[in-house]
Amino acid sequence: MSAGGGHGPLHQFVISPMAEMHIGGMDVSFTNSSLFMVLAISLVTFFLVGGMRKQALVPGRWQSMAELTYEFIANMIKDNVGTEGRSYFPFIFSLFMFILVCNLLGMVPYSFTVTSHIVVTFAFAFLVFLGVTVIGFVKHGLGFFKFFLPDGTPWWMAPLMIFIEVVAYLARPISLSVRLAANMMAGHTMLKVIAGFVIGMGWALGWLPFALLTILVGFEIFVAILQAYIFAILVCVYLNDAIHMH
Amino acid sequence: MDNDEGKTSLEELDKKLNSALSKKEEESKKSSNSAGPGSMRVGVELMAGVFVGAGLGYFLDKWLDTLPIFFIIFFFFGVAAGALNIYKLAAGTGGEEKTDQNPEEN
Repeated sequence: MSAGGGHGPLHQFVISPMAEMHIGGMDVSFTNSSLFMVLAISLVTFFLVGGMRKQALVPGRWQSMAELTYEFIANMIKDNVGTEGRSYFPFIFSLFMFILVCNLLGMVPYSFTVTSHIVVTFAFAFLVFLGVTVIGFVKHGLGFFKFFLPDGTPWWMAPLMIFIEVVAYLARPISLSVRLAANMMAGHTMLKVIAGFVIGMGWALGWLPFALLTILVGFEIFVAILQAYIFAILVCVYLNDAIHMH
Repeated sequence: MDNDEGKTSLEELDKKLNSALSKKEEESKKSSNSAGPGSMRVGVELMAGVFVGAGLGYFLDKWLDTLPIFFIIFFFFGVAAGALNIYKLAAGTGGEEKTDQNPEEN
């Protein structure tokens, strides 16, 4: 983890093209971000396919790890959405695994954290938002508009409540994406700054920030897992709102 | 006689199992809803509400050429929406019914 070479703590978030590509005037170059997305997908695929290769009745270590992740998400959906949520399992599972592996890959020194970019997380959040809204209208038809007027609202409060509920509903993709991106970016910037202290304070005092850095790396791994979990559980909560309308 | 007794005891067992299972399900639902991980969630929720409210008001103003009016009104809608989202987080999504029932049970 070197912060030297004249690079600031934010240099780790720079997107640099690895293979220039332009299609119809649009820049679709293969960047370091794309590389780590491909890497994350390959790792998830390798982990799950490799784990389930034997399909033993009594699972080995690898297979039981793969099964644990499956059961973790399956239980999350069952607890938060109920049995109607089971058909959305593949989507939520892929989303969770991708975000988790992207977050964890970011903890490898010299790597790139895909989820620290709000473009990426907002794409996920907005897709979830659109999907959940469509599901709500498909399941309830125009009755889904009742979602914006809580039960028991006095009639004279209704116009005010509808505006507030609509704004609260529209705020969901923003808070979902900003939460993940801000957490990842803040953590990684902090790590770089403190790593810079280790070099800057020299042999005499450098061990102090180094001890802190060690603790923070552990904490960042915890945050990486926690944020993937929060993202998945909030998708479940939103899905539950759309299916059951509270 | 023996058969009958066996049946009733089995039925009782079934009832007990079902009630225990439903209780467990309720508990797990409650704990997963109320255990909101991290205080970061609350701050981000408020920020997003204000952002979306103010942004909505600003674009409405741009469209209707009435610059400060909707911007100000929707800013406050945004604050209220952020507070509402935080309330929903804290209360668990189904909020009101559950909090009404709990005091009666206790």
